Amino acid sequence: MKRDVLIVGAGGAGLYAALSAVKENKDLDVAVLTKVYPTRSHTGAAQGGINAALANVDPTDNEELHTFDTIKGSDYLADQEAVKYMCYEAPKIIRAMEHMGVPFSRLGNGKIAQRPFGGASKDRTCYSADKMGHVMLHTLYEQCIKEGVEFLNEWFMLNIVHDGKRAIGVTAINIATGEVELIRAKSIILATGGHSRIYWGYTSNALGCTGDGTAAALRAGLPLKDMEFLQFHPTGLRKSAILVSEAARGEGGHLKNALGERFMKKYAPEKMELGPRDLVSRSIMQEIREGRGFKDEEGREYVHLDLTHLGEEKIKERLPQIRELAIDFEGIDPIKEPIPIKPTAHYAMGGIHTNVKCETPIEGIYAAGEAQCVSVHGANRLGGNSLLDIVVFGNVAGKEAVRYAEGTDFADGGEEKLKEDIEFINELMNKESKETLGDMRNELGEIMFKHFGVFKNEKEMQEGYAKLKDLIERAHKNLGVEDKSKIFNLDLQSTLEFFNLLEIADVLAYASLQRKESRGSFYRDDYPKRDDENFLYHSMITKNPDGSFNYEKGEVDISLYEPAERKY
Amino acid sequence: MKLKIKRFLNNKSYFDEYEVDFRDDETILELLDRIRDKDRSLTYRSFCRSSICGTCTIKANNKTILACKSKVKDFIENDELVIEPVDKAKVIKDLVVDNSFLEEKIKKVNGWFVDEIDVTKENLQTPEELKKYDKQTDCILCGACFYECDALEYDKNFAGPFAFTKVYRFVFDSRDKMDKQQRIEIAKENLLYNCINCQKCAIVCPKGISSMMDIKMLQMKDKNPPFSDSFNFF
Repeated sequence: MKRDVLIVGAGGAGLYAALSAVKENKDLDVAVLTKVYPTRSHTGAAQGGINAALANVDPTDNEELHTFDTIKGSDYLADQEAVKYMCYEAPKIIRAMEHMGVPFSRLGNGKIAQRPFGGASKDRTCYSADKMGHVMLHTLYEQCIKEGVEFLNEWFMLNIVHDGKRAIGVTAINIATGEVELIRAKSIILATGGHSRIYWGYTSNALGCTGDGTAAALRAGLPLKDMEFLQFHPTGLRKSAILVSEAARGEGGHLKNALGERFMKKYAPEKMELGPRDLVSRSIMQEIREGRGFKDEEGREYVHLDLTHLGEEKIKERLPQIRELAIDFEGIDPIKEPIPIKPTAHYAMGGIHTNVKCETPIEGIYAAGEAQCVSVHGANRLGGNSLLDIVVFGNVAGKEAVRYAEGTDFADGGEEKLKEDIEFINELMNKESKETLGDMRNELGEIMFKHFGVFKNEKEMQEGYAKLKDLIERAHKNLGVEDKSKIFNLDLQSTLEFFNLLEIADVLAYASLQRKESRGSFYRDDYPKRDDENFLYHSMITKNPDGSFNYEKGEVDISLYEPAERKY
Repeated sequence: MKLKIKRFLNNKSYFDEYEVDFRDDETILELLDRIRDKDRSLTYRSFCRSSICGTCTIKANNKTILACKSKVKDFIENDELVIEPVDKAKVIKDLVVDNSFLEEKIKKVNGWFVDEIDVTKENLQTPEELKKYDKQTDCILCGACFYECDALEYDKNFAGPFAFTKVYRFVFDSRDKMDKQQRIEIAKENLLYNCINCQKCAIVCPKGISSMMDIKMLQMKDKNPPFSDSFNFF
């Protein structure tokens, strides 16, 4: 199979890239390869909104303020020109999506409504009740169908193939048949999403957010950037870790400890519940650590997110999905009772290193979305900036990929890699499993949450890393595929996803141990202060053939704003 | 409780039976996950586990449901739970069915918004105008309405409840630039009037959308209804 532009992943970044690519050049074959049906992608679970300085609610808002808020929120690790690009594109791309049919919530005057959000100095977050990601994903999917984008649904990418200089294609399994193929492409866009599933059982993410593209990039010798930065969202449901949107606080929800105190007054006296996510998550965990949290019969510790004072009408109109989730998964109606919540692993700031044109060091290979690290989020992403990032850089990647494909032919080679992958799959299929995949995934989640969680320190991390290394070794030795059928073998897919998770957890743990400071989402008890003198850099990791890592320091663009202490 | 799961592979189907306990708040997806930990060949789709992605549509005691949203205790009857793949779609393996009809049907009804892109200004739309079609944008393409639809028993060319809900969503969106009657004509080519008002779509929709009502509203908005001539015979 051959396609001019092959996009891997059908979330917001992949779909926007596809749309931009077909619009840029109708004569090219543009295909989207996805391991699920496109509208299942995790973009659809984004709830609260998307940031753009439209100034519809607060006329004093502008792109410059959005840029500064994002940089400050990032704890000065974001690349400032890249952030500026994203924030100045924001109003344009929001209007473009409005003209694609996205049903934004509206103000009385008919303009797109905007709500306050964490870490933002103005009411800047455009929304569609609390289902922003869902309506964006479906709208982009409809537009892709309209423009004739081809979808390869339920294909699972195994590896990225290149010749050291330029892209050759990817190897992938057609899940329905079990056949492994080399799909040649002039340009490839990796839009494979995040990897918060390394915190299995402690994450808001869908079961498939396993960083397949990021792990494949690592295996292909591409650098991963800032992998130690993974954000805990303050409000996950107690039992399932399913997300309760920041919109709940944006609309006026209160966080309360077991004494009934709005404890955020101690940690962010000005912004209160609307402090940035890293700060609010730490505050919740601090309350729990100091014994002011709740504890249920099964030992789960949590605090309350109280919406009861907002009233039935506002909850039903602005936060209907959150109400539904609380009822379905906690058995609690937020109109009547506070919601039990705890921080949940939510978003990977780190990912595949690219420049602002979405280029990786290999020609013809691009990355966009959560899989990518430009970086516009630095050490901590602001709520509402993720949906923005995926469409802004999806758009860039689509256009750049077309430009490259127009000026080149298909590269030769790749047969070796295909053979290798087929052999690897056969081996895995023939191996008897000595351990249970489900148990091992839970074990991974336990290790990561306990040792690389909201609070970290050297001792905990070293212990955790030893456990992780042991788990990795056991998995490669003991894990096989029990389902021996070629047709729709999700056992095989889950096993491959688990290997990807292990590879990423390894990088995240390694990168975490190198950073002896606290910055944004990355917090160490033993180094509680930010240290710009020694650590204001992007960590860049590549993997050697023997499995060891190369660690380099990438420069951070601080050309616009001098790093300063963050206060909220 | 007795749990029966219908299995299918290589044209063979059979039931696996288990004797299991369940937690009071356990979802059917969590129960299936527990079974799969023991038998990893058991195959079903699942993804977001929070009823927003529409992946895990299956049948539990003959009702089409999202496995992640449905509690075991709400579906067992006589201490038994029977899990099967949904109807009206080709089974690929166990509980996994072919869902390619989703894209096909969207294409057939022109299920996309039509407008010129203008990055300098947005369309205006009042909250009241949004309300006319807002509920319909909740559709997650889980297909539950399609799998239950009685009109599809009679004619497979019926676009299906979700597809007409999409048409409704554009016809009643004040911003959409495609001619409303033209949208309705396309819906009619896809058998808009074949709906038999069984209401099953409304009953099974996990998002509480009534496609049947959407279909009625489209029929009422039709300026050229097919039965108008026949009234002359009476």
